[in-house]
Amino acid sequence: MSYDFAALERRFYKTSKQDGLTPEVLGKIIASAWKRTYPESNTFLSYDELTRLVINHIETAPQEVKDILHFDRRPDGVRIEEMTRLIVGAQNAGFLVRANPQNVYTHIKADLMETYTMLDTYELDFPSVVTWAQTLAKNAPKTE
Amino acid sequence: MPELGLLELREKLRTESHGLVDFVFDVLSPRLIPRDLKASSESEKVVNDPIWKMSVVGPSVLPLMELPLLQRLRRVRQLGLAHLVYPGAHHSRFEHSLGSMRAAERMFDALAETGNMPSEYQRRLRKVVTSAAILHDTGHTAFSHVGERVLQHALRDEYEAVVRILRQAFPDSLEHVSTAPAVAPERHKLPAAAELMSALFVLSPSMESIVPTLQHEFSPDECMMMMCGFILGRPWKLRDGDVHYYWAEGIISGDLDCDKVDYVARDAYYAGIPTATDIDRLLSQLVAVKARDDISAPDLHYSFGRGNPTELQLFGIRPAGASALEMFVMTRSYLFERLYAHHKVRAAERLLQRLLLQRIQIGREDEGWGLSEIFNLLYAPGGDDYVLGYLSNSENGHFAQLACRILERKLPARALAVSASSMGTTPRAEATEVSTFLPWQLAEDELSRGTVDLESEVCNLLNLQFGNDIIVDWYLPNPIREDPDIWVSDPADEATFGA
Repeated sequence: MSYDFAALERRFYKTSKQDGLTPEVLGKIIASAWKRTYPESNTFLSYDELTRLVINHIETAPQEVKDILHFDRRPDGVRIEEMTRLIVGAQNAGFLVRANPQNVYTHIKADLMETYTMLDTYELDFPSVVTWAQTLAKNAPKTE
Repeated sequence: MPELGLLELREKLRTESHGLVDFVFDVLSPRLIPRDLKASSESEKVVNDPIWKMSVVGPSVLPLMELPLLQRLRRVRQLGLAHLVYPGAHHSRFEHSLGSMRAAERMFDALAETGNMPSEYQRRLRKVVTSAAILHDTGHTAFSHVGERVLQHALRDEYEAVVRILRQAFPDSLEHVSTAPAVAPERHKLPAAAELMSALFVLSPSMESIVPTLQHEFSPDECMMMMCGFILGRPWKLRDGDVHYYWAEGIISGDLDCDKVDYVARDAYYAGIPTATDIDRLLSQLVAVKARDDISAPDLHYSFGRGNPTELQLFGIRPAGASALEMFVMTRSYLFERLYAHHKVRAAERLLQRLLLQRIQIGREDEGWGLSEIFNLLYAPGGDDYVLGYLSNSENGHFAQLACRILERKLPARALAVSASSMGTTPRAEATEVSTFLPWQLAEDELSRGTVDLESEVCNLLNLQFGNDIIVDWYLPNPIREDPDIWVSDPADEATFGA
């Protein structure tokens, strides 16, 4: 008997499409939304500021975001398990440049054309996530 | 403290796990934890190990070590198929489990001593921690993480049900004493399938016959629940008197836990990759960092007194050990690049993953496979080599061919490698063209989620056979998390935080 192994694998993974939100994509969306909100600024949020911002707005986040983020309780507050992937996603895409240590500010390198293009594209697949990210950006603390 | 007793928890797990827990408790566990196993006449054994040298296996661990549950791990390689690239990397999950136990003992002793833990509580808790350490990997399937990934997908609904119950049954140890906003149980990360299986083995009725022989000083039910909590990273009974020994959680499941301490040293040693990690230095600098209510600690979200402990002890390291910790993290990252994510290792593992998942899916769709057949394959007592041998003799020529390719190391050769720069865009260049930047970003997004669709399209275009002729691979995200839950003690008062 010959099999359609591609179809077999898709059935195994119980998915026929590959379009879900990932922490890396969320990182790119947040960085793009932030740049669009503050076009003049080159200083993005620090690791801790971004963590707090996302945690403070998680209740209003769309379900797609809630599904991919997990929290870790620490004695000094709550952390997001996927925060490294979020930032590294945007960093690998070339949107952000960071220096060590993590409490220094992160420079945003994405230009306006890129961020508009990316956000418009992501809005087709993740409209509610893009809207939420824009709300996040508007509520972000000043970085400069 | 867990809200359910052991019996109630078992019942709930059985009811809601779609048959998975029934199978593990009633079929798999009795096989791996037999009640009639003759106990060893020895009270301890001395084991030689290249990493830890001579280790004493004491009475709280020895009966566990002799179980088929642990002995099976002798035939499960720690690094899956990495030995096809690094010929020395044949070490097993069994020796890693022993090494983790030894690491846990040393970590516990260092932290308990600096935290002035009362000797009676120290003796009782140490036994539970070492037992949990040696059991933490018993849930691993053949081929370690490759088999685990297949199992996780094959039984996703069942595992999600188990996770849901365990997350509620084992609340976070800081849940009741933290002043930070509550974290709903569903917001905590899912443990991986192997970890869940280890937890289920510990909770199984079969384990009841072994636990009384371990000379623990907690009741058997308490002991099983405590070991399970440690494995899941949600331990309880970490309070003695007015002190909460939060650091104990990090020994079995944390950013510098016994598992990582052992595997970093062991994997590098057997793969023959020189590294600069100084495990002795690292462990010698561990310290219980005290956060007390009389100390000003503005970042601490912890409610002292009023029925809560008055002292919280954190998993810490002395400033003198910070560089050893940095080197440890760098070594993990280095091993990830050179060993775990080596392109040839990934090619071999993709081939194997494909073989296992296709075998299971065809078994389920055409041959009436259920839990029994899936577990018989992935938890075969003969381990990795048995499973490959079995598949290479398969009547289905496709499976036999794939298995033989692995056995004979006929791995896929790299035909094409692409990167941002080779595609005409660069990661954040001075003058990146939007025309290349956007497609690359979208391709990256899609490929990081899965490669089946692109693989299928390439096969159609080139008239190749899917599943055999070509593999599309995409880089693995580095799993190392920033911001580890490790506290550096104050150099002015090394046992005090925030002074």
